[in-house]
Amino acid sequence: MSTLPERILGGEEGEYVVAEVHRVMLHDGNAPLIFDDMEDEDIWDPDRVTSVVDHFCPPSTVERAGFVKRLREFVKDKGISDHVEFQGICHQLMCEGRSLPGEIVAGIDSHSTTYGALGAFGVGFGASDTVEILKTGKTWFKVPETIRVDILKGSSGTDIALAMLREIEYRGNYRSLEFNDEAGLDMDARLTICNMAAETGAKAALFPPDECTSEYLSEFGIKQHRSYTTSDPERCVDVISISVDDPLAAVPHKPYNVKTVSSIEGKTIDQVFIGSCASGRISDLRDAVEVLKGRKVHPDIRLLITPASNRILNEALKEDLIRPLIKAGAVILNPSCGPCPGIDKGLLAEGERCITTQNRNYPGRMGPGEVFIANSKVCAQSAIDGVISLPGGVDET
Amino acid sequence: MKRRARVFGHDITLDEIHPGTYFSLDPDRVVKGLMEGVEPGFHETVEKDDIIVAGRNFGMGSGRESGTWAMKFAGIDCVIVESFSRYMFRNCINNGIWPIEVEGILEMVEEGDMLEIDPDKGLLVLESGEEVSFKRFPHWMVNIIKSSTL
Repeated sequence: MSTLPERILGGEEGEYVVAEVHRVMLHDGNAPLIFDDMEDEDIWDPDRVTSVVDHFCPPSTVERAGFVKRLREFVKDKGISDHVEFQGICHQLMCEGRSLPGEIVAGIDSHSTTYGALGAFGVGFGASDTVEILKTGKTWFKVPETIRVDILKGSSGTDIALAMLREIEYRGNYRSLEFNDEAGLDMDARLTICNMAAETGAKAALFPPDECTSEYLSEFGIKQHRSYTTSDPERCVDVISISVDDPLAAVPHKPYNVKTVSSIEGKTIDQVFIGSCASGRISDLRDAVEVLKGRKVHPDIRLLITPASNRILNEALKEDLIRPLIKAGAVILNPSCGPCPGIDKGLLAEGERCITTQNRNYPGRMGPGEVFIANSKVCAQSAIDGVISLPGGVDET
Repeated sequence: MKRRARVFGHDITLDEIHPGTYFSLDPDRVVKGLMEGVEPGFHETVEKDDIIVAGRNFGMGSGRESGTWAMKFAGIDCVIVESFSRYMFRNCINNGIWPIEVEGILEMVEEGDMLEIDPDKGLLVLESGEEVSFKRFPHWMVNIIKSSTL
């Protein structure tokens, strides 16, 4: 019996195949690298391309303002109508009605694995590969091996993702991950897990579509979608079981350097960031409010929060999640990549430390400081205490 | 081709190979960011005909191609590592840089060693004269690499 990548890409494991992509995502952070190569080229199907401005959002240097201006001109020139500026992070927007189960969705970004939460074969490419895809609608793949991940227990997407990283480390490279959800996760958790699956090196990370997928897609008016069964377990190169009991944290400088939060409690920090394409969804904001409501951010800490999209920000406003965060002393940034990639706002100074819900803590990622990764509740509690800290009542959750 | 080895360790991430702050379309600016996250000032000592030698998982993390561009602008046309991230592998091919994988390369090569590399034959000659073979590239991949060379 075949594996999912074999069925979706149309070839046998290990074989090089050429496959057609269903949709392409461009963003301002990498699109500038394709402008020259695309100058005299037509796009194979401009209606299948989404362009997002989320990295330089809004731009902080004149050079970057120039990139955004060129992207605006580029989409007009090439006939791309789905251009979204300053409305959210590309990966979140791609999961708001733009990616469907079974589709191959090619993003010009390594976190394109996120779309696997919806059962799409979300896969990232560099700029030069993206140029070829835009010209032809196709690209080559080596059909990857599959690692199956059985999620048995846990609810926080960040903790499950960190537990997975602890097990797989970078062995997902050139492979595809496939999740078997026995914990009944919500879509927010799945999006976080598929996003952070990129840190295993995985080409794609898939939750086969189920009721949770259908329910989520119906929020965007999508009533019907493709279904598929899981890979033959005997064909998976590895099967991993994940059960999360206690909150986890990745410590510098690798996302898979994972410890329990309790083992690093008390470490001083300077900044807390809740956001990035790994997080900043409504459940992360609810978790932050649960901890921060009626409390105050420690005077030595700056707490930065970015909702992942305007849609989520709107929902948060409706649920009255934003006011208690501001009252506690949080800074609400506009939906964007924010401090995570170290190119825009919220960089760390030399010797500073940040705890965050983002996906990466590589050296230099957020400037010269140190980055710890943990779930939204742990980040919120740490913002109050001024040191890495477990939220009270964690045992009951 | 004869090249001088510039040696790095395991798990060198793209954020170290090219920190995001150096993202630019200006080649002078891009090249200044090369390896800045692991060896500050590397761009001042790198010479044409230098190549990068590193361990496992070279280029892990981000797929930003500006890191590969920085190598290309510095004149690097070959990288020999134990293993590549999938992004770095593909980006090297598309930028005319030979992405060569050799198991245990860090034990064979020291900083500044002169190496003789023949990608067509899949042959690497170490400074000591010892010969090491590596997997040759499929023809269609060779065509992309050769047609992408500056």
